[in-house]
Amino acid sequence: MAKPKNVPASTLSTGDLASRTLILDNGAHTIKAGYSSHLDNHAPNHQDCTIIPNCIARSTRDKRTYIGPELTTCLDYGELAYRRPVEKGYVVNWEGEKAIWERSFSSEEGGLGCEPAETNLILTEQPNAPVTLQRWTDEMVFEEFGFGAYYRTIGASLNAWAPSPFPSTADSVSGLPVECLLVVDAGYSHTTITPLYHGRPLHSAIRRLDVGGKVLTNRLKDCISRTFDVHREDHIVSEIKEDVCYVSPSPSAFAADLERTWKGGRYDARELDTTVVVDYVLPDYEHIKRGYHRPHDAKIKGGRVLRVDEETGRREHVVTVGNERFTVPELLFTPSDIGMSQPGLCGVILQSIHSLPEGLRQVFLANIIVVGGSGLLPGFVERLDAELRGAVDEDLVVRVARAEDPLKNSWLGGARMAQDEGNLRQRLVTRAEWMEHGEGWVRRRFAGKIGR
Amino acid sequence: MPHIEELPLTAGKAAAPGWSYVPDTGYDPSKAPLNPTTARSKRKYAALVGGDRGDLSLRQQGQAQKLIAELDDDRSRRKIEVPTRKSAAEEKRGARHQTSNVARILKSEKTFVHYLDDEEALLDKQPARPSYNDETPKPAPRASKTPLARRKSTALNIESSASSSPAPAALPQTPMGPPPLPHHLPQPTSKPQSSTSTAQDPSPYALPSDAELEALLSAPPLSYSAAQSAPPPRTDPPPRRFCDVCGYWGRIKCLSCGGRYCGLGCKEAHLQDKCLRWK
Repeated sequence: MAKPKNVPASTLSTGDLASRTLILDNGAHTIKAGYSSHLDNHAPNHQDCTIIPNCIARSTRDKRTYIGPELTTCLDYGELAYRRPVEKGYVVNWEGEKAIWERSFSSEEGGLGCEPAETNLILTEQPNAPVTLQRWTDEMVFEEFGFGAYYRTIGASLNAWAPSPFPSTADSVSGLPVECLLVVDAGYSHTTITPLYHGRPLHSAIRRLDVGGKVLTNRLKDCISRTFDVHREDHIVSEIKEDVCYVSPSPSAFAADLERTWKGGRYDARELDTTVVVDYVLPDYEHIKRGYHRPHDAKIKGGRVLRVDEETGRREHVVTVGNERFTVPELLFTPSDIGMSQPGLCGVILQSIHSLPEGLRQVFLANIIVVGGSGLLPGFVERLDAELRGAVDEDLVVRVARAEDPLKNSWLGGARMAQDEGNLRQRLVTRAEWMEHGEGWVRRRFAGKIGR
Repeated sequence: MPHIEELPLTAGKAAAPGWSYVPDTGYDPSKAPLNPTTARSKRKYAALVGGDRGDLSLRQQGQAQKLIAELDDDRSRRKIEVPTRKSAAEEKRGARHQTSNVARILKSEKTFVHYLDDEEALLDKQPARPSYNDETPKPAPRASKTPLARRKSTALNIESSASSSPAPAALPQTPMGPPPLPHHLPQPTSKPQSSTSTAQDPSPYALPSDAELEALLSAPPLSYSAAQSAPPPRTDPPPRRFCDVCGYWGRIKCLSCGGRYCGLGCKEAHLQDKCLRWK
């Protein structure tokens, strides 16, 4: 590592901590960011967390480039081209990420107003990161951004500090982690299973399923494009997914729904079941800012129309969404549907649990928490619960719960952890320490190999 | 019934003289006919590949791989220039210029696949990360780092506790106890039993001792590819097939290309747009 030659003297001495801590859950799709302080008694809540798109987007329509938080001011999401510096949950392209972070930290509209030298940073990463990427992240945080103190951790592990979603357990104290927790992080790039013991990940049992929100969106895009080409409309398809997709309660319910949405054979045409089949009105960004769905109109044949709405007299694009509503999220539970040789989510969780000592298995089975954007799909938790119950012995207790806000739960956990000064001192590495000990030492500290 | 297991004959990767059991992974390219054209050689080929289970042929596997790679790509590599704009923070820092490392990182055009390859190459050269392994021994050595090789052990593990069928005899690596009895664990979030009480009670659900837990907690992280879930057990039902055109069950297989469709209506659409026979 090259020793920096001319960096501004840190405003903090070795033993000092800045008064506030920025918790940055740096996801591949969105950044979840906000402050927490160990000095005041304000309990952090979901409102303290800002969701920032982690992308640079270029619109071909108004010829503008939107960086990170600027995307919320975008009026026309049609045919936006994205550049995402985070691949598979790891920051790969620092040129892009630097631009997004700088825009997010600025005090302009939508920014966080962050002065790195006077802020502690808690940054999340995905488990099993390549060492080079970790090293480069540390380097950028200290050398380029110049944060006062810094802690890099596996995002899922912060969930142990968030309030427990299980009703029977007493409210956890803000500064203490939950004892045992199995975090199912259904994110954008993939779904990871992380068992946590007192907030520390059990590395040998971390497993990954390579199906995430991105695969689902792309699959839905392919399915809808059979009738209407939406390959360039990432944003709209992602909204369709959020609005109408659901997870079937069981494989038999899946088969039943598939029957109900079938148009029938050539000589025995069937009525489509309008409780499942819906028409989705696409946004045109003139009058309709966001798409919406309504029950299927039998007059629409062939999946798509451009038609005139009777009431308003406006033209609207309508796409019929049938079995895509449940066959697409089904990929999380049956990846073999697209020929992927991985078991479904339930199988991956069992693989993780079976790699643990037997004494621990029950505890983790009874404390499964779902976080991440795909966890918002209706029926996700119920299906996972049912499949797990069917796959383990009857006398084992299975409890699965969705976090109150699956997107912000890791952030909230981090914010609650950072309220306790002892927690912070135990984990943070200050800039002075970085300059004294170098990157190898810092990396070992974050891996828990060097104690304070 | 005697228990038969395969014992590793060789310590390292070097092949020892003599013979050894090798795991039957199904498809052996050396036995496959070069050009399966006749019906008989096609059948033989299918049997080798495992076609009886409705497994995919090599070509279909290739197609599936391509599809998965496409689905996993967020088309984000379309080159979008980052507009250069001096932010206020940058101006404040003024003359401070970047260290050479930072400049190198910022200029890097590598994608995740490159880093993954680097990592794999590094792991091949030095199988264990020395910096992590110095102080703490690994808790339980894993049979193999590749997901495919893990299939067998995990499959057996899941089956033995998951299904109602009689559990197989004890496995060498993880001895399974007798069928579990109804029990009451301590409240999931309460303090785990202390190690003294677990020492007296050697039930299969005894919580691991503090030393075991510590070893488990300080185990080094797996590499990216090792953390991928193992393939599903062979006993799983064969993959479901869907109509290429409408997404209903793919009940009919196209004779020309092997694609699926659901009925006459979709057959026409398939032949017109989807059939890969001449492409």
